Amino acid sequence: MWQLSGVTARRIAVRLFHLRPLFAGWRVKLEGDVFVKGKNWTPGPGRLYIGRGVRLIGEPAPIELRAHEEGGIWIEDGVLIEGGTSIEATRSVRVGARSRIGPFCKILDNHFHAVGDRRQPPESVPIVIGEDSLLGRAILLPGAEMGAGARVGPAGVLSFHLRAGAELA
Amino acid sequence: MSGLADKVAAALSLARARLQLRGTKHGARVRCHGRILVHGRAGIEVGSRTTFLAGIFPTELRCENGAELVIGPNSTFNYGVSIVARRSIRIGARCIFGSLVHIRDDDGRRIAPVSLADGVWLAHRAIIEPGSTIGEGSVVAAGAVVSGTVPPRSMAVGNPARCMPLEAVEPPQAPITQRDGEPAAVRASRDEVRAAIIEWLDDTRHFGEAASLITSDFVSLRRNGLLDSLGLVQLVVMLEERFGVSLDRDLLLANPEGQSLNTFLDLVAGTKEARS
Repeated sequence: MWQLSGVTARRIAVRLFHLRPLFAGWRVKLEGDVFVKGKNWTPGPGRLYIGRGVRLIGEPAPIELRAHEEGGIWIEDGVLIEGGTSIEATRSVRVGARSRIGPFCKILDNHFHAVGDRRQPPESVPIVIGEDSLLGRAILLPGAEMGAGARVGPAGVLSFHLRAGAELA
Repeated sequence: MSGLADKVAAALSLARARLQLRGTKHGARVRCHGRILVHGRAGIEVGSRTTFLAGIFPTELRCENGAELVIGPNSTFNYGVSIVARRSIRIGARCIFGSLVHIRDDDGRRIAPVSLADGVWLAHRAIIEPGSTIGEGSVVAAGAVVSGTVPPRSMAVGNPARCMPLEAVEPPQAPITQRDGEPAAVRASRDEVRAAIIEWLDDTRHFGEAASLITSDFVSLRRNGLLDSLGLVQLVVMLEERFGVSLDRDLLLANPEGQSLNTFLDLVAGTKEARS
């Protein structure tokens, strides 16, 4: 029971050496084995939940998972996130199991500036990405919802509900 | 404790800006929280109180020999912005730059100066091509590619970017009611309005499949991925122009989730009947 299994050792290594900043490890909840490569940024005071078998490939560009105050990022089991991707959550961003988030994606749940008064940040709208969905170099804006198995191609900008299995090129 | 940390970070950002922007003409109280790559320092001017934020990519300011790159005061740059000037790029005051914005005045075939007026907001991964001019207070949406002129107070969306007035996107301050004394230009029946909406959906979004996607008049346009929030506004503008009516945007935008084809039919035909 007190033995340090390979999985546990890797979890500790992930906490200490890959997910930064170093002393914010308590707000990161790791459910199981996580495969991490390259540099991964987790700035911001919000919560971060990473499921089993998640792969974060921070190469050749780093990955940013920024959860603001009272915000949370949920990454479910078996998700693959590629380099250059940036996820910012002021309320919540959920990535469904086994989805694949391609390189240089941007996922935002708040515009941070309103069209009228730029200093007034607008309301956040939670983002939900269904299971087995696929994103390639896309931009997901507040209000984006993807059904299971939906795809957003490169240069796609999504701010609405995409039905399960649908594709936005 | 956090107050002290903020003060230290602020002092560090001022010092970092002085170090990284050495040799350029920069105003007072420029802040820099991350890395900036600067090439051709002689031609670069950065206005006072400009802020460069930190992130996963460095910001790049590049100015070739004899070119000019002028950034106005009080601008804010998110990470990864890349500005490369071969002849002239001029940016006004109070601009907001999202992450990974690219601005070029040379695309390998032509060199044309780029100018951005005051208060321009470029969202994430906007691309500004050579010869572009963006008017005061305009917004370039995420992922848009601008090549040409964007008028003042408008929003540029898509690739290639198309412009619409900002008032059409902005939630109205006071409820817009029917304009008095304007007769309806075209008298439309419900069938005509329905045909116009389906035709517009075919042209802009669904490419011939709109009629099969809208199974009944009471299907929500938002819920089934038929229309995004911006599309709803574009649809309202299209209907107003085409049928010469003035729709109550407050009513339409208050509950965008529940809007169905029937709502639009009622509104356009209803205003017509009220007038006649």
